[in-house]
Amino acid sequence: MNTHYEKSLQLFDRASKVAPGGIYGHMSPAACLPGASPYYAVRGEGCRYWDVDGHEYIDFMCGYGPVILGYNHPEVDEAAAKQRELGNCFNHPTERFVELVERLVSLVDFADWGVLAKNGGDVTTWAIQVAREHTKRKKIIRLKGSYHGVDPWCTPGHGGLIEEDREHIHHFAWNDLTAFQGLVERYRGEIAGLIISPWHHPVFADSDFGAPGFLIGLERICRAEGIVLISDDIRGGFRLNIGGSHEEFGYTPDIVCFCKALGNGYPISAALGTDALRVAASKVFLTGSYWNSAVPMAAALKTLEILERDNVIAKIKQTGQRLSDGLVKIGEKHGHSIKPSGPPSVPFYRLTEEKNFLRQQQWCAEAMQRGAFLHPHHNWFICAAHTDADIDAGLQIADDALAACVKQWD
Amino acid sequence: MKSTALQHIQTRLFLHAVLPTLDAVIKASPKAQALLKDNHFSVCFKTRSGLSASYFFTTGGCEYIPGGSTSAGIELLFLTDGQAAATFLEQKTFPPLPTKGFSALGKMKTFVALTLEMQAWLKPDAAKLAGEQFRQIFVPMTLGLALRAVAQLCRSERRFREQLAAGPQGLAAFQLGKDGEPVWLRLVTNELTCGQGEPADTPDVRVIFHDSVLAAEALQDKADALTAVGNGAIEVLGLVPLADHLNAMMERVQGYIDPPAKQ
Ligand SMILES: Cc1ncc(COP(=O)(O)O)c(C=O)c1O
Repeated sequence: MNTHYEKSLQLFDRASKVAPGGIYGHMSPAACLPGASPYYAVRGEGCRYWDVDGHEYIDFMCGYGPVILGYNHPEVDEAAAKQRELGNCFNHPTERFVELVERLVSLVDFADWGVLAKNGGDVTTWAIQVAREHTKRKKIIRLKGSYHGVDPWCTPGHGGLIEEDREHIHHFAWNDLTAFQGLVERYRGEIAGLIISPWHHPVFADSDFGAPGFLIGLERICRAEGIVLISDDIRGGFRLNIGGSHEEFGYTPDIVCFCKALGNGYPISAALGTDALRVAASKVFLTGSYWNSAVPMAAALKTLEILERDNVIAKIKQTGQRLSDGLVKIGEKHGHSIKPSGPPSVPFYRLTEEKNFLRQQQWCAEAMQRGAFLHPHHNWFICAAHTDADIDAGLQIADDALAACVKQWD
Repeated sequence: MKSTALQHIQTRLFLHAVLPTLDAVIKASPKAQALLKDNHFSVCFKTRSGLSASYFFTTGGCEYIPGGSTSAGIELLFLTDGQAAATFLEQKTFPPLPTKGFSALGKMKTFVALTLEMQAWLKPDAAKLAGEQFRQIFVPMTLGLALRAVAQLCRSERRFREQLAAGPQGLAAFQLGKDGEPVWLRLVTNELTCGQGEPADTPDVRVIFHDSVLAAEALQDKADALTAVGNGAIEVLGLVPLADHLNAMMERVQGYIDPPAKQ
């Protein structure tokens, strides 16, 4: 194992004695670069963070998405601190709840109501229940390779599942409208909901936009068949369009789910829906010990304010494009083509010469060691704190890292 | 699952995944070799449902040939898959019908002794597992069995085929130690092959167990693999989801060939 990450590994050793897996879920080393990446963070600032071994990283994952304005954003933290002075967790929600839901409903074109929770999975699972309640049907259709959380109906894990968990969950491949039509014909009158993401962003594969007519085609079929269309915008929400990524891609869902970027790192998620679903939504029980906590709501209100005020979405698109152009050039320079896919602010990069990600893993490991957190398998995230200078510094590291790899490969 | 369907799968798994392990057992076990000294024989198992496999035993190993072989000295027919499954699971049942090699039937005593020896290797006690040398054989032997079983299940079982189609596909290699001989499985719809030795193509994922204790535990479902990957005891290089997917399928194999008591 790499001594560069000695303290990370020591902490992991301690952790694994008291926590199954040591670090579990998407942050597990097994999902990234075991032994060749930092395991534990200490502090962050802007687009950078420091690990327990004292290494600094220009971060291209942004906490796997939530950090859209930068780590420790002073205005967001101040808004949170102000609310904390008043209190966070009460017997009731606070006015922040009303303000935030009003704000979200005003931002999302089709939405008439909203609910708040903590994590993405809270609201995706709740949304499919609303679809079932509204339609009185059982089946849910989803995309192959999509991610919606860790509940039994959708977890990518294997443990603890029974066959019945997925009895009414059916898949089809992204951009295969005919396959969806086929499922609809096969299960006509039984399908409660279709859950999609605005673009396809699987792990270990290129991201993919909807082919012309795909997303709108799905919407049309859903409308004709009385199927509730759920847009899982947890990955891209507020990075592509302040009103939801569906606006960017020209379709209108019945429910949209947000999380990640909404609170700039404070735990909050939301689902918004149409009037037609209001009664069903009121019937599907939802709550959690901390779901009404006021501090994350204050943080989210401030985050939304800054996103609009500072024109953040346009900025991170530009920043992301700079990164993309730079990486493509680096690939060309070394004769190892790097392919960007997905939107520039939530991009995926892959060395095109291989399908098994072996070289990609080496390249990203070299970059980590040099101080840029490049994930080998998951899409990256750009935040407002990335300046052109940060991007250029990141590109230099990516360049040096690839040069070091090429020496071994060629 | 209907019990007849389950018995069919179990029989298939024993014929094509478990019994081929006898080769590795004979190669590793002086006891098995002694049983076969001047005592070479061959047997073909058939079921009325159409399953068949032949095994040719020598002191050097056991050659497994999928399908019935006319040159096998003994031929035994199971009238039902239930009868076959019960026989292989060592449950009470009628013996199979000999259709060839009546005079050689005494050799089946050796066959039974060999399968008992195989059991001792596949289900070792703690004392045996404590030996490094034992684990060096146990790990690839067990891995080979599990991969053959996954290939069989993906070929024959709708649920496994669906699982195969839903997950990542490609060539996966597993080995004990950086220089250990890999066992591999090509998990691609319409192309399910497995084998031992370095595969001809570069694997999409390579899983290296750096520690034989942990490898043995992992194969017995007794290891925290996530931790082991994190601390480097298991190295997974390349298409990680393929290894994960395969691992999930391998775990399900156990339920068929070593069913929980209530089943
Ligand atoms: C598209 C998508 N949906 C749902 C989720 C689940 O969100 P959470 O992990 O907050 O439950 C995620 C998390 O990464 C996601 O990316």
